[in-house]
Amino acid sequence: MNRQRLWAVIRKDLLEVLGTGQILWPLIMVPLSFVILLPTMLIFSARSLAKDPNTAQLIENIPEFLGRQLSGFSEQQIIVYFMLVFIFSSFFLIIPIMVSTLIAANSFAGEKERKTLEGLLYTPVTDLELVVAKITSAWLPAMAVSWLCFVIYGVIVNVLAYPLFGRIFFPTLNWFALMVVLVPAVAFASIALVVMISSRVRGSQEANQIAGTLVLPLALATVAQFTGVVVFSTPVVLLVGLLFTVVDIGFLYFIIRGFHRDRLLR
Amino acid sequence: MSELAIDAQGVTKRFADITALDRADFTVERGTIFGLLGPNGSGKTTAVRVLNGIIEPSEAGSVTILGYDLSRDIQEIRQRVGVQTDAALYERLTALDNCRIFGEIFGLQPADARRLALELLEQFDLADRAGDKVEGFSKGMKQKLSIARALMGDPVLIYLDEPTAGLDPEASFELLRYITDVSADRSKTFFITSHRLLEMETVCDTAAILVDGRVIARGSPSELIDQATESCRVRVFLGRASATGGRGREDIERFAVESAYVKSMEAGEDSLLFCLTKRTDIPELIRALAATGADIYSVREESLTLQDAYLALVRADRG
Repeated sequence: MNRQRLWAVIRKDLLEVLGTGQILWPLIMVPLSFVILLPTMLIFSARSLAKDPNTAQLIENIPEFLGRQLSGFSEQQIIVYFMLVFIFSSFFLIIPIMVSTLIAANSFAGEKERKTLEGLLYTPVTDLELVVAKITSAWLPAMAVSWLCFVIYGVIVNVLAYPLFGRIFFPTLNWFALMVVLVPAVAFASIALVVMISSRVRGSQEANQIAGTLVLPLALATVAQFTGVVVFSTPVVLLVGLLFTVVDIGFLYFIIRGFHRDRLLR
Repeated sequence: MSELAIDAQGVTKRFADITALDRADFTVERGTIFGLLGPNGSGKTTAVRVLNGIIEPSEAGSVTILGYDLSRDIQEIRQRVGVQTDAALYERLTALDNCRIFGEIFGLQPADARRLALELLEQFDLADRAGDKVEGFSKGMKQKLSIARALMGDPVLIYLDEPTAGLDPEASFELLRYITDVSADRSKTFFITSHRLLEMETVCDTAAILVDGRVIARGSPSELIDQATESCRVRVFLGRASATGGRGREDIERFAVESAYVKSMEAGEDSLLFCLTKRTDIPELIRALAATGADIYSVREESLTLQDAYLALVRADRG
């Protein structure tokens, strides 16, 4: 694999993303409003939430090992901590999925749609370099936006929740596992899915729609957390992250094996 | 080193039940300009894609590009070939970035890629727009930019698809002069697909006509003209009276009908156009016309153009 060619294609894709407000602004604004609004609303409504009868039900559903961890906390603290540290962590996976699918769909299916891909196919870029470059150019911004959101989320959570807890408690270990293992793996999986779809669909919109179904398992994961079936604790996050990594390797193998230039021109 | 830039024999490509290329042969000598002519949908784009390994032929025959086997040495070939097709440019990038990035893909260091990109943009009159996004460019500017981009790898074989489409006459002339100069000075080979037959006749060393995926004729433009027809055309300028029915006109018409070597005659405002079976009949025609007593002002042999030949060959092939 020729690194210069690889980076030339990656740089081209990144320049294209940065060069258009149509892609860039949703990529930044949606996640930012997500990480700013959600914790702010929660923390400011914590007092009224604590009095809600549904909250008592939610606290009852919290698994025992977490209950021990949260012993000594008031109901208000429990609900805020549980939501900020566990429930919102599954929401946080939406960010890399959204960013990566939007860029990947634009970069692969979008290039096909705009008929710019053919020019690239005539160059010495190999199939492997093309696939790796396209995946990387979607993965890097997904990681950058996710980590930026993580930092902003951390600051907001600690600043706004300080009066309630009297100490800085974020990030917790499960969040490090999330950001270092699960988020990169999930972003890769969603990009790989888009790349696989892209050679079979006509445009980026179609690719985006199909890739949007990825949010469904996340919704299930969130419901599962609310009901106490599963909680995004550190071992769970690491285990799911490892599973996704295995899936990613499988995806990459199938993409490289099944990649045909002529299919991209149909 | 092979003398042939392209040596493709028996190339067939089928898409479901459509045969886009049917045992087509393409032979192009190094340092020459080759034109691939053909109606829309005749298989020209498929030919370029197959010869560049973008799509695989259904039956390959044997394809050698610049001495390299297409199926085995595709990377060697791509490193030496530049392709300008109707594939779009990156509209959200600047003209400079469109070229520079391709230079880097072809192995140039970033600084060298930038330098060459600026040189080519200068050459194609785009230097003052180098930093502008392509989305604001006119069709002609985009056309010039896509050709400049195809030259970023300093290719020895260059494919150009309708290179003068969208260019004004002056820019077309400059581009064609550039192509002939580069081909002659630096031994670069050009493979051009175009519908502009007048330009192709001027610029091409050899050409082939592709109809329904089959190469129906090949050779130099003059050879194609010879293949299209053995006849010749002579325009005889007469006094207005003779041309439109005055003195000698009846005799001329009778002569045209009775003569074995006059295939047809068309009357113009002040001239008659004779189509003869062969060139050596011209002196006999002049003698016969003089004998009718018509006022003959001048006689001019009208050479057939590549366009005439193309139309004749395509129509003949389609029956």
